[in-house]
Order: sequence, then C-alpha cells, then structure tokens
Amino acid sequence: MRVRRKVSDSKKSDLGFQLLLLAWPVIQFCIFYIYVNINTVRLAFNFGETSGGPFVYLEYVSQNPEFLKGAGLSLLLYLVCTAISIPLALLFAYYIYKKFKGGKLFRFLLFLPSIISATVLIIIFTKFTAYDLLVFQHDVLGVEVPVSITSGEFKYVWVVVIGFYLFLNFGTTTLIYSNKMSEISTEVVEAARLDGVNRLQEFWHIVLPGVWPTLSTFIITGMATIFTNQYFLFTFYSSTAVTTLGNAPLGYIIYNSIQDAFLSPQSVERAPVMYHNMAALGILITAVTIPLVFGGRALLKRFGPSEK
Amino acid sequence: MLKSKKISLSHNKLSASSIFILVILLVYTAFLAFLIFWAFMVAFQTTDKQIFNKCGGAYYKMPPHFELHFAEVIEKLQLNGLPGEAKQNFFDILRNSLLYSVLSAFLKTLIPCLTAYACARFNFKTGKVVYTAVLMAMIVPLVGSQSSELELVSKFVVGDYSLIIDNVIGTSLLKANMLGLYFFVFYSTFESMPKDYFEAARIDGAGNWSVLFKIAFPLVKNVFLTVFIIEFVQFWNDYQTPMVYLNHRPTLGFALWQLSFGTAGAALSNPVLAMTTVILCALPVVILFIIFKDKFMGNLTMGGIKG
Repeated sequence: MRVRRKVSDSKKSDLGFQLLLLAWPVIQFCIFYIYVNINTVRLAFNFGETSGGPFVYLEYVSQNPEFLKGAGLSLLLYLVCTAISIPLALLFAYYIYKKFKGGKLFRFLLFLPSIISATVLIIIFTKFTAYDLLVFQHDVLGVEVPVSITSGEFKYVWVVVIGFYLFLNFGTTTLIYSNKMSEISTEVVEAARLDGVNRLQEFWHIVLPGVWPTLSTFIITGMATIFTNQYFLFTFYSSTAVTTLGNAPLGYIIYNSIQDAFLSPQSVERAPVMYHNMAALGILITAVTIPLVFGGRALLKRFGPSEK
Repeated sequence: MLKSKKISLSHNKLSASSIFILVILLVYTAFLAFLIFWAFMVAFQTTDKQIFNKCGGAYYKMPPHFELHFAEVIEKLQLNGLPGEAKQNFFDILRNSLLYSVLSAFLKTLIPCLTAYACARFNFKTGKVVYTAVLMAMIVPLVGSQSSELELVSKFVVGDYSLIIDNVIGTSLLKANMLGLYFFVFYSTFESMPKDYFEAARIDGAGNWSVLFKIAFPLVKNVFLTVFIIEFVQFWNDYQTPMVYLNHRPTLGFALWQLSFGTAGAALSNPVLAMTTVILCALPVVILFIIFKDKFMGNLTMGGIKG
C-alpha cells in the first residue's frame, strides 16, 4: 500500500513538474498562435462588425488585380527558383561530398551568405551597382547613359533579382545536402564503384535516394512559402518594388501593406481595413497552400526514389 | 575503415562535369569575395573621393592613402527614439541589438529545449498533445496572422507604457515560443539519452530540478549552444521584426536597412561611410562564425519528419 502511494506521489510530482515546464510555452501558444489565428479568421470574415457582410474582404482581395498578379508572380518565381536552385545545389553538394579540389574552401564560402545578413550583401551590391558599375559601363563599355542594373529601367532587372536571391539562398541548402550525402554508407558507394558504376549512375541511384528525405523536406517547406516569400524585394526596394518593377510577389505585398498600415502616420484610419484585407488574403493563401503542401507531400512520397 | 573512406574519397579525379561545376562554384565564390573586397576597399578610402569621378564615384581606382571612418560612423549613426525622446545614438542601438539578439536567441533556444524535455522525459498525455501541436503548427502553413498579431499586441499597454511595441524585452518574449524545427532537434536528443541516467538519479533521491540541471542540461549543452548561436545570428541580422515592433528602439539590423531607405541614410549616404557601417554591423557575427564555424557547419543536417 505504502509503495503504491509512493509511486502515485512520484507520478503526481512528475506531472506537476511537466506542467510547470509546459506552462509558459502552452500559454504563449494559446495566445500567440491559437487566439491570433482565430482572430485572423474573425478579421477575414468580418465577424462582430456591423457594416458589410462576412465575405466583403474576401471578395475584395480575391478580385483585386494587384493581388492576383502578385499570386501569379509568386508561383512563377517559385517554379523558376526551384528549377534552378535544386539541380545546382545538388551538383555543388556532390562536388563537396566527393572532396574534389577546393571542396573545403567552397564549403566555408558557401556558408558565408547565411552568416552575413542579406541586408549587408544587398547594400554592398546596390551601392556597387549605383557607383562603380555605372562608371564601368561608361568608361570601359562606352555606354553613353549607364543604367543601374537594379533599377526598373534595366531590361533584365528580374534576372538580377532572381540571381541575387539564389546567390543568397542556396549556399546553406548546398551544405545541408552535402552533410546529408556524407551520411551515405561508404561501403555501398565503394561496392557500386567496384561493380563498374559511373559517376552519373552513382549520383542517380545512390546519392539522390540518400539525400531524398532532405530534398523532399525542402521542396515541401518551399511549397508552404510559395505565397509568403518576399525574395528580398523589401530589402532591395523598400515600399517601392511594385512601382519600380511593375509587379511584386504576394509575400512582399502582404508585409509591405501591414508594415505601412501599422507604421504610417495615418495608420489609425488605415490599419483596421488593411488588417481585414490582409487577414482575408492570408486565409485565401492558406486555403490554396494547405492542399498544395499535402498533395505535394503525397506525390513526393509516392514517386520519390526509395532509400532501400 | 576510416582510412579506406579517406582514400576512396580523396582520390577523386576531376572529370569534365566536375570541371563544369568547379567553374560555376568559382564564379559564385568570386562574386561573393568581390562584394566583400569591394566593401572593404571603399570603407577605407577618403570621403572626398567622389570629386574625382564622372558618374558619381569610381572606387575601383585606388586613392593615394587610406583612412578609417569608424569614429565618424559612430558619431553620425542616429535614429529616432520615442516621441519626445532624444535620438538613439550608436551605443543605444548597439545595446538594443545585443539585448534583442541575446535575449531572443536565449529564449528561442530555452523554451523549445524545456518543452522537448518535458515531452520526451515523461510519459503523460500532455506531452503527446504538445508534441502534436508543434508538429501541426509546423506542417500546416497558416498565413496572414501578422495583422491579427499586431492588432493584439497593440492592446498590450499599461497606461502609456507598451509591453511589446518599442519594448525590447516584450518583443523578445513574443518570440519565446516552442515552435520550430529546433523543438524536434531537442526532442530527438532527449529521447536518445539512456533512461537509466535519469532513473538512477531518481533512485539516489534527486528531484526533478536536480535531474534537469545536473543530468539533462550537461548532456544537451552542445546542441543548446549550436542552436543558440544560429538563433543569435538570425536575430542579429533580422530587420523586419525590429522595423515593426521596435521602430523607436532600433537595432543594428534595422539601422542597416535605414542606411538605404531611412533617416540614417541621409547622414551616412556617402558610400565610404555606408560601407564602414556595413562592416561595423557585420563584424560581430563574422567573428562569431570564425570562432564557432564547426558548430555552425558541422551540425547542419535536416531529415524528413516522419508522421
């Protein structure tokens, strides 16, 4: 009897301790995740407001041409960036994993853009393009009226924006892939080489399946951020990206609208409407993204290579 | 075995395809190195350099001598404080940055760590519910909650004193949640620890707090430090959260953005001073990276989450 009571007391004390440890994270989660998301639904569907119906903001954002154009651009940018970055990152990772010439140095240099902030590198780049590159165009290339390659006047400005986004992003991805590749059993690779497998076959049949869980995680998390990725446009252009480039992805539009509504001197009048609009836009994006992510996940599981 | 691994991997000869990858890698790293080199080259030039140029400034032409401008930047870097307050100078901004980055990184590491410990160590339903909640929050992408969050935090006011907006500690507490990938990193670390350690300590009369501080924390300290450093760098570099939540308590990350678009830009618009500011702001994380580079790069793996 006494032993059972002791066990029960100890269990109670363990449960009390666990609840104590979980108190802050759970309260924080309830307020800043559950309540905030419920409030997003309230804002989006205009609950508790006397004017307008429940779909007034949803209708507005779903018919707004700027948001529709932004959604299309977000999708296009995701496809282009994924199509370029995944093969390149895998090839770079394979190069580092195979310890080819300079692999260690590249490993170090590829990681630097994740340490030095994107803002630092973008400021250096924009200052360089606004000063020395203009002089270079004028003095060396003989261009009469040089144009900054980050300005809207430059024909290939989107190539510059996408290129810089990829430059800043895929270093870390490459390293994660190469670290994952280094977990592949050396015996398997050696046995395959002895069987006469060439590099392409080794990459396709051994390395790619080995790195697949990581790769599919990246693809899925990438899908989840299709409509929230800002592609560093706010760092490049502040609130002028739409006027400079003619269009901007939804992630940029959302952040720019919210910060503008919150920080501008007229925010007292503008913020409430903007909050409703952005919450409605968020709900629409969530409604599109959730099936996309789960569908994508199922497809990758079904058709992806097996490690076995 | 290790020797054979070394031999097999280090004797890889360059094929045509690897030469192609090498060329792209060289272009990538040359571009990065060039940007960093250009920033240093400009930062140490004389501020009157532009008088020699046709189109606004040619910094690739070396000046006769180099200068340091750190003191000038420290003096000129000033951003708006709260209405009626004096401007925030470099040291105020540095203090805000350190407090925001260290506190937020510490809390953003500690909370997932403690939550993961509570879930992995005890076999109660509460732990399983919390684990599922973190997993669901991670895989279900809810968007558009920032406006709702801002509406909510604007109400956290006592008299004239805001508990979150323009409050570094409040903003750090806002970020102190259990969500994110590192919860699972800590969870798998605690789960893989031998249960015997904890049970032996309990039999010897150690309480839950003693087990946590004397057994669990020492075993997880390397992972904790790695996550803390990664979080610190992210908070140090972040400017979008401080821009909205700490607009009048600016951090160096926000000051950097202001260099291009805000009030700091006017005083430091000269490229020489701008590049000096850039170096000044990036230096702490670069030093941190050089000291802890193995922790940064060695622990960087990610696997698919099963479920």
